[in-house]
Amino acid sequence: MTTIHTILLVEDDPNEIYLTQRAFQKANINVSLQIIDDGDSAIAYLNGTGKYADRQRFPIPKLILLDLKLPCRSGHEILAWLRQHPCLNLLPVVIFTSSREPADVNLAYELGANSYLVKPNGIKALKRVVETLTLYWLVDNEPPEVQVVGAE
Amino acid sequence: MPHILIIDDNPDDRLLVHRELEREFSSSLQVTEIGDESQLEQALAINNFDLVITDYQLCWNNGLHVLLSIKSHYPSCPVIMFTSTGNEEIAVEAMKSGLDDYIIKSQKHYLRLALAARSSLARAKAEHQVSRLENRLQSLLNKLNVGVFRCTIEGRVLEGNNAFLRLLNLETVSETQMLDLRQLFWQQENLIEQQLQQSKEIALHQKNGKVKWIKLSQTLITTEDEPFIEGLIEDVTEQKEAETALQKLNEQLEVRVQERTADLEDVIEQLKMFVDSVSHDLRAPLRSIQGFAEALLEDYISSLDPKAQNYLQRLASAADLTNTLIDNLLDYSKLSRIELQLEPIDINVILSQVLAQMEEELQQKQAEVDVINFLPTALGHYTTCIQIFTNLVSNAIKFVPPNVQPKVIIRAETNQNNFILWIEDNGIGIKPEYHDKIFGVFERLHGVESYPGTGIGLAMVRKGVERMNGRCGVDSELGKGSKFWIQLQSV
Repeated sequence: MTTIHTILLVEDDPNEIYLTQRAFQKANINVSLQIIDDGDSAIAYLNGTGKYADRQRFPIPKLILLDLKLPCRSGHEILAWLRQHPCLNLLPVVIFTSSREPADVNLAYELGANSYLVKPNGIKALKRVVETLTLYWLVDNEPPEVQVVGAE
Repeated sequence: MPHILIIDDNPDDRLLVHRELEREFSSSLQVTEIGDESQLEQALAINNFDLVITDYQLCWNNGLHVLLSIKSHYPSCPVIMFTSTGNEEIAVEAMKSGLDDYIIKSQKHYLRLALAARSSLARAKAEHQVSRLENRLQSLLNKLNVGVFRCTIEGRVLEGNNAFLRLLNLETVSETQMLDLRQLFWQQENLIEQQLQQSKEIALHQKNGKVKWIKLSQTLITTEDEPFIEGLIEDVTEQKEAETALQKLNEQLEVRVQERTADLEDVIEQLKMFVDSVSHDLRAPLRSIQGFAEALLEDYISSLDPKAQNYLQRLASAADLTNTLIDNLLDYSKLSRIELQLEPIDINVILSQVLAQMEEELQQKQAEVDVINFLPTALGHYTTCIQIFTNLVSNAIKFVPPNVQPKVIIRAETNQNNFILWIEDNGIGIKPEYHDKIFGVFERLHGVESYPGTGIGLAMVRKGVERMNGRCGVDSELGKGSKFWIQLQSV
């Protein structure tokens, strides 16, 4: 039995969430998509605190799909926080956003993003991106060892 | 030629003196002999003589009177007394009154008289020259706007010209006696004793509350073991005030520049926020519109009639177009905002890249692109060059009449510091009145149906070329094809 991988999608726009979820379904990708729609909750999830304390229900993801413009804390801030984290600092992070502004792109890489994807237009393109993304990051890519530490 | 008066009541003596003088001065000499009072008065009135030789005992008066009379009229005229009737007392008294020489009249002294006359004349001439020089110097000094002074090391003024008095608000030289320059100029400093020359600026507080700035240059001079100070003072108040005003102006300017810079930075910040908002916030709903329209078509195609499908397709493609517009606008604004690092760019490489990228499009339209000659290397920016040539070539093959094979010719024209690249097509051409307009943002001459596009391509070309310090334009007539040109700097 293959393990079902967890992808953490940090995205605040319900339409984007809906279309992304749909793309995963259409592509027949068997992953557990955890959705978080603001910056503070993303950090709580990754920390395993508050309502995300149960690691069975909210496991450490294999991949984080991170939007940049978020309520409470921006994607850049979450990324910066993550790279400072003693255990989770190696988690692969793919920025998934609308902006192609060089300032946004460069800052993301500077803070340690593993990849930067601009959200494509149209559902066909979105499906293709979701397919290649999971194939690359969950199948082909050799993941880092991330120590899972239970919530305190 | 010296003019000598010989005053003697004895004509023989006059003659002897006259002859002796002529012998000494070898006739380059004018002599007037005076034998009585009226002649003397006449001569005194005319004043054209340089030396007087007078006897003491005269029938109308004596030599002492003559001496006093001459000295009172012409103090610098030398007088020699040549007499046999005088004595030591007379001689002493005469010398006190300014007599130049006293010679006893005797046979052997005639020779001496002539020599004395010569030396008196020479002395008088020298004195005259010295006094003339002194006068000239004094008058110059007094005309100067620079104060000149001499004082003791203790600060007591010895001399000062008019300007010196004026600059220190003094009326007369005697007032300077009350002045202590040490107090005024040096105060507690002893600098002048440590260095021989110095120069400094001093603020003198005036009675009217204003400040007069004086530039003092002084030198310590030691003659005959007694040191004194020679100095110049200059009123530099105006310069000083101008300097202060300039400094104030500079400071104000600095403040204004800072304010303007802050304003500009504010505007730039706002612009960044605007761009940020366009690139993040405006795209998300658009993507949703497009996404859901497409999802409807994909998931519910069987329950939609052809009209509904058509509407949804239009919805999706309108959203798609808006997205492209946003992309283009952001690209255009990026061209204006970002600093382009210029470097040597081989246009041949750029063009082969562009043609390779456009291969599919070129084949589809069966377009023919000929590069006539070897293209130069420009001072440019790689990505911008790619954008520019992509736009120009794509326009060249796009705007052709239906069923016409697009033919594009690219050639270079090299000048001294720059070159012009021509992109010529066999397209529909452009009316001259639109030649400038087409380089504006979102300017289009044709409907999207006949020639699709967003109207930003040529605006990007112009902005890009300008950012690379070049120019661009078009040479075209309706129906006769277009020749677009761009001028770039050569390396």
